[in-house]
Amino acid sequence: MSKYSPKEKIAGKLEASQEEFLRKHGILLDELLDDNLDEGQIADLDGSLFELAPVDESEAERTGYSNYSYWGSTVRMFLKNKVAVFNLIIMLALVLFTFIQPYLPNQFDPNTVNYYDAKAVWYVVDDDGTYTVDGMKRTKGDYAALPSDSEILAYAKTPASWGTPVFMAYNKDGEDSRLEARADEANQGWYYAIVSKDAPYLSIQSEDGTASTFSNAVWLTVEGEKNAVYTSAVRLTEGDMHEAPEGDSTVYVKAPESWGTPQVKVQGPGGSSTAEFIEMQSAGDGWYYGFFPSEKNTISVLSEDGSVKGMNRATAQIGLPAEVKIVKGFIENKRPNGVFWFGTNDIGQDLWSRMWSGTRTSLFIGIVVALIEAVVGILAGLLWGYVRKLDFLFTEIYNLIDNIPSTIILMLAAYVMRPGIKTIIIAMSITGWIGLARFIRNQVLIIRDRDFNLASRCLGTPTSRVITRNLLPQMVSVVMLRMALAIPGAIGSEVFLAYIGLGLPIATPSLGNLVNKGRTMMMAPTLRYQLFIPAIILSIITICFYLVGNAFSDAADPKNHV
Amino acid sequence: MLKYSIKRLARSLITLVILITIVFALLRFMPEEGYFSNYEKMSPAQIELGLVKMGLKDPLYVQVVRFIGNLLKGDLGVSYRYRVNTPIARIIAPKIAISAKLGLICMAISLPLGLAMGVIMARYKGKFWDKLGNAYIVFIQAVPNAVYFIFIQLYGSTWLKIPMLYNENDWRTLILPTISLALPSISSYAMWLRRYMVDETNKDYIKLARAKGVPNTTIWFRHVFRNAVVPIVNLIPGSLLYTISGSIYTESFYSIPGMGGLLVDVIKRQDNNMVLVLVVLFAAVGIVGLLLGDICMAIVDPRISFVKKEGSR
Repeated sequence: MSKYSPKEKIAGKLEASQEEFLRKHGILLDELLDDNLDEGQIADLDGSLFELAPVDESEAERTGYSNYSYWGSTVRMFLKNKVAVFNLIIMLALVLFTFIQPYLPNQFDPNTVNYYDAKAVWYVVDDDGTYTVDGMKRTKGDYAALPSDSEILAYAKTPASWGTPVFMAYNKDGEDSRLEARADEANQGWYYAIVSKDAPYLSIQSEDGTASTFSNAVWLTVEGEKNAVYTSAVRLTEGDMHEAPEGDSTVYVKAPESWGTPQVKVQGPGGSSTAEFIEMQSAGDGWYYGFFPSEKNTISVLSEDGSVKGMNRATAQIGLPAEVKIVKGFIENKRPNGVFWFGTNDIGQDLWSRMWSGTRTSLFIGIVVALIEAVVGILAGLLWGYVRKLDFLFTEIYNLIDNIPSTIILMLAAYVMRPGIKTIIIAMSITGWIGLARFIRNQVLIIRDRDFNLASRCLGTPTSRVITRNLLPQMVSVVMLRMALAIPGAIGSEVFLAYIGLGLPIATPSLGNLVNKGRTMMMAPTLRYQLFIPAIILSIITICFYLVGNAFSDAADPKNHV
Repeated sequence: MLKYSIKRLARSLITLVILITIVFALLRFMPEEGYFSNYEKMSPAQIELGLVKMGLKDPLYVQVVRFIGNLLKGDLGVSYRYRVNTPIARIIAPKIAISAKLGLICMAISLPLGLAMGVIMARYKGKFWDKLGNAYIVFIQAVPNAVYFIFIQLYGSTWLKIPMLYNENDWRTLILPTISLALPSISSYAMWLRRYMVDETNKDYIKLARAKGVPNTTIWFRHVFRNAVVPIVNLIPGSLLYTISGSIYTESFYSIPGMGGLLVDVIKRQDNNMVLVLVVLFAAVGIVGLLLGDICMAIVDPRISFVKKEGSR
């Protein structure tokens, strides 16, 4: 008997019980599977059995065999990965924030050079009477009052314990006058006064007069253990002040009891003039006071017998209070503060808004490059795999691009074209697509002739449908992975191009520009914030994309779907 | 094997010729000043004369053929702007030596470390060391090199109290550049070796070996490691050759006078001839590296044969 005889094959497989079943129902196995038909029997057979079945496209698309949903399964797998979900949330928050940021209140334009205010100064006074003053606008809204050309508007913010501050103005001869201080209605906690340029020296006192940014006295405390000397401009003694003779200042000293009556040595600026001791008298409660001449400004404290010395030599603030001056120029290299949240760069631009604008640019470049890579890569890969005539051409292109380091292609492209976002995107896209195209081509070659594709083709499914339904879903995982990794890759390439000087112009902030600019500042420790901030944000973004991309591609791989 | 190598070499040469032509054509779009050292002071007639003299007015194919002919004679041409009228070969020879020295030191460190790390991570998959290693790999792969190179330079030099910039006579100045270069290559060796080893452990023959009672160490080193390291071997000749091209970031951060920054420099100075020579050189290095890698792989793994066609496809 021939080896193709179905009768033998089936009969061998049927078990006795089934044979019995057939017999019981009167079906004769031999008759059913008789393959030794004579010509008459063949002629009797239904001719339609041997015709080509009509192509039925709807049949080719019949689904509904299981309730398995590819995307549902992918999402479920992804959500199981807690680290990736966490990173996804951070990533989305960051991306969203780059779009929200320009609409937040009090934002600066990323490219505007910020100048110090031309009409006002802002005092911020700490609890101990130390203060900072500059022309950086710290109040919101318009000026509380408009100063004339010979006047300056001075704002001050004092600790709450000071009450309503008192503004005292002094002229060059040291004559003082009390200025009218008003609360700024629009800005809680801020007071302002108009200072005339004729009497431009300003001190700010608390309501009860005990604390001041300037006083004709200084309080020194010697801390026992380290013999450290602390200076305070805030009044620490009680009772009446000991008024110094005209031109002199009062110094109050409190030293550990074992020191006895402290000896105070005063010296002129720079230590050039001769040092002299001043007479100290008890002011009660462990305090001693003395007067020192205004031409001296450095004070050393010794114990009564001279055996112990204060470790820090204090410098007392004497003479006239600080002059109120308009600060000229742009607000350069300001460290992060309440106005410029990430500080300013060396030409007075706001780093906070540059940061987010740069993040937006870099993400835009990354996403566009990833999209181009995906679209071109998939199309080219499908052509490469499906159209045999193109195989040679694509293989040659692949060899060419793959053999040359991509940084060189990147540099060449950026060199040949004008700098700009478009150039950078093109330069990065030239090399990116080929890897994905090659992967798709290999997959097409493997999957193209698999049984389920043959079945689809037999059922008359058009090629486009085979591609979109049978091929592409198998590649989603890799395509997504490559897209997700292309984004940090593109950001890195942008940093590289910026570094070698072929990147975006400075007027277009980007993470690469910012990191690069920060790098030039790194030798000055106080300016390192300009490097740290963009570097940290850049790292967060790239790590988030990398982790989320990996996790998503694992989740999208049908092999991992249980 | 020999026949295959020759064939591959021939193909590579074709690729190189195509590349030279493309770069040639691209550079023709560049400003002409890239061919003169004192372009600003020249009259149009002088420029025209100079271009004709250099053969730049000839048809493209003539120029390409001439360039390749000179290359075959070992003549790389002269630099027009970078160092006026100096033969390019003389400019790059000392730079290649410096870059190769740094690169080889770095490879000597990173290859054993990376492989060891990969083995440990695969061996203790899912345990603490694997997770730690993965965190390191993710960081290095995701964050652009420039960022952590800057921090290595900044804090490395203050903490270790070594000079920040390269000095030929002070070996300590090589420490930080080597660390910077080694970090990414350790991570990539470890990442790939771990992945290949994990794939290998899931194969049936390993299960059989386990069932047979083959000792664990033997399984890991005789079977898993030997099979997993083959694709890594493929990369080694390429990496060795690439050391001559230097690293742009490291060399310019530490001002090492190597090859790394050279391409950037000549691009900025628009020295067209040097751009061309360097691109061709780097591309040639890449092509030869891949070829040697394939040959090495065939030597290490007797199952790989480029001569026989595998399967029906």
